[in-house]
Amino acid sequence: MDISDEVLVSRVLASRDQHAFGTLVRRYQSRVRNWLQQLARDPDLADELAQDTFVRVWDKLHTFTGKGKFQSWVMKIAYTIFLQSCRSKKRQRRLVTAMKDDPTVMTDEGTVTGNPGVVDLNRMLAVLSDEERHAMVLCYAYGYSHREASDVMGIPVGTVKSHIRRGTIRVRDRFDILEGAA
Amino acid sequence: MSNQQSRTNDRNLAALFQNLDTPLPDDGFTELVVRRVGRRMWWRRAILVSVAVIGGAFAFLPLLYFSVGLSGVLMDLALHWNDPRWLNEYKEVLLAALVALAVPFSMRLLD
Repeated sequence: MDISDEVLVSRVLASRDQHAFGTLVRRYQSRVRNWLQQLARDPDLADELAQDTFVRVWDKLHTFTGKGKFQSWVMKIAYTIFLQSCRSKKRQRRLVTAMKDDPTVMTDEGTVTGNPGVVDLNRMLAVLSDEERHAMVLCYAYGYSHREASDVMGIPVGTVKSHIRRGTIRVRDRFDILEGAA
Repeated sequence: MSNQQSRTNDRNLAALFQNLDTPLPDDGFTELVVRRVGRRMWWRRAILVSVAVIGGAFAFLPLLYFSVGLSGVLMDLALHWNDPRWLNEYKEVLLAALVALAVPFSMRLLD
């Protein structure tokens, strides 16, 4: 039987148990790295940020109150780490480079270029703003509720709903145009 | 938009987005993190011990003088506790000790 997150957290807090912490990292590394890849669009940078995220989780574990899910708390830390990395100059340059190299970036003509095999999802993501993309990934890809997404992103629930609504409308409208043009 | 349309929309979007949650293999990631955390703990301990040693080295002589002085005062106190001259000699120290004792009680009373 799987040991619950709360038990593992209490073990880490009680005796700085690195084995228990390893279990927690193994449990959530995939989701956190996926999420950071969506945010940073660079797998290497995402893995660097994911490492920073788990190191911060280790340092701040005593502040986890157990009110929400442990997973949401970790994702919130990952999001904060990403936002902080955007502010640091060195990483910002890498982020800009990654975004320039991204095959889903819109061209000047307003069409979308990319690999035909993965074009649907990438084309869809390309028409969304960052906040809309982040909110929609949390809610549709990871199945978070609006409240959980608002916790992770540190914005009100209403704003998350607005981002999702606007994103959905944008996808619906732009997709029709793009599909027609393709 | 009707509820049914909205639900269909949500289902379609979720189906499109599900590719984003494909499990990533660990590939030594967890080990890397745990090792990094272990290194940080080691460094913290090393810094703490070094700071304690350096602090101890700096504080050794002053602490020695202080303890010698304190033991002299305590010796005097033990031998001449009922001698009124002792009170005159150490009246500032005695006053400071009484104030130090009284302050926490006064603070609690004021609270």
